[in-house]
Amino acid sequence: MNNRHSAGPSGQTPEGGAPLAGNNPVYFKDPVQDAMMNMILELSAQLWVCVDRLYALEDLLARQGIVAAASLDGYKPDAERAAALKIRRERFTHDILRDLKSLTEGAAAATEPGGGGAG
Amino acid sequence: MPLMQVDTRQALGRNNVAVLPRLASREDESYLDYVESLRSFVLDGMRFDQQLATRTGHLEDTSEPPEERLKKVREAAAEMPVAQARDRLMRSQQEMKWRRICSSLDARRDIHLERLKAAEGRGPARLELDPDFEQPQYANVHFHLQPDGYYKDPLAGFRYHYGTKVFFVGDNDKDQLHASLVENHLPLPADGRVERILDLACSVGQSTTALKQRFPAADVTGIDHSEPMLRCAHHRAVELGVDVRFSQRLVENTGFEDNRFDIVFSFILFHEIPMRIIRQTLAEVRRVLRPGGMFAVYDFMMAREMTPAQLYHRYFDSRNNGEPYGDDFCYAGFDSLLREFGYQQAAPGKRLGTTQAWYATLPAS
Repeated sequence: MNNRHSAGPSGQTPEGGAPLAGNNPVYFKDPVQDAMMNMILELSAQLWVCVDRLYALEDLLARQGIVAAASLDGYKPDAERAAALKIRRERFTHDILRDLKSLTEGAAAATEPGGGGAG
Repeated sequence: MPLMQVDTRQALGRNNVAVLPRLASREDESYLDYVESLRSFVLDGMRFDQQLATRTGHLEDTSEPPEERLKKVREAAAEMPVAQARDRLMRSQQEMKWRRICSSLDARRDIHLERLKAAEGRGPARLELDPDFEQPQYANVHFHLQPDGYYKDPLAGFRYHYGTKVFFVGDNDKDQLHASLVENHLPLPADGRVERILDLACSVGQSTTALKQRFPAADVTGIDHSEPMLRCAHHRAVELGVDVRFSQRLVENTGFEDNRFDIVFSFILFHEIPMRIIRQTLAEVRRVLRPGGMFAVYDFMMAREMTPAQLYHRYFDSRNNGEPYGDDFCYAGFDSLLREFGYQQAAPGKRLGTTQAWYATLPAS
């Protein structure tokens, strides 16, 4: 393990305990590999959320006879919806790429886009 | 080997209903379902037990001291890409889990706080908080990487409850592991008398309510140092309609009178306290457990019995998953500690996955 250690929360060393890895520990020889792995994991998670939601949505729409699966291909969002989607897309991108950001000089000051929502 | 291997069929038959906090959205639940699957994959699909055992020359042979075996294991693992990848994935799935649980609970923070407040004063469960309680320094740890640890955030109990749901990869969604432990793996005191039970470090009270369900006539008390955990435990027990008491106390200094309890129950406590507190707690339980009572302890298995892969995981977990005292406990020899404090074996210990059960009692003085 090539991980950095820190004293734990609030800089306090736990009593007689093992040294705890601090934030952003590195396990591969190159920290970019760690970031890459995290990006892949985050991407996989986000993709699963999407698959799960689409499955539920298409199932509900089809069962209620509202939308046929084929008509989804013709969908085009209006300006308001496109703007909302853009905000979500930026949040999506941030979540996946966050580990690359931790390699930059401004990592400590970085803030998350899109507010503190749960999505 | 699973983290805890128990037969939950009987416990499920009791139709126990867990009171997991609802997350803010289906998106959040889907995300955490994925993390749960990721965790399963790492635990089952990224095993390298055989490779590690071959490289270290140890498989089942555990005759060499664990400290010596660990040295060889770490040297071997340092050259194995799979070990680095597994470390990365183990750490990442924890970080992903907590990020999403916390953001999702925070999105409805006011509602969750209101739920806890609404439960105040409601029965049948009772809640006793100590306004002068001082948190011990040793508890200032972000155990399992849980943001803010166990006692600093008012929603720590809800965070912990959902976090452990993911940790147990679906095997405890209805608290069936706790129920099974209490139903199937808790022997009675030799004389059969069970009037008062103490659940040490009860967290959100899953074993506390299970104990009451098995022993409906007994007075059951769960203690913990964390107010948010106790509030969550109380809220959960109120929702379940279970008459138990939750009280803010230290395991090493409970304040109960001598010989009060027939059973003292301890589930995954001892690996989360330093050796000084382990010793004080063993002395305290000796004081509050009546002669002939049952002291049931369920915790990490001992290092001397671990395979190379288990030794590797313990080393990793202690340092990278906020378990600073885990090594102290696993390398200490809990059997000899129990004997040192005057306990006798009440029943043969049991291995439940990588969890070990100890059943101790005290002789009549």
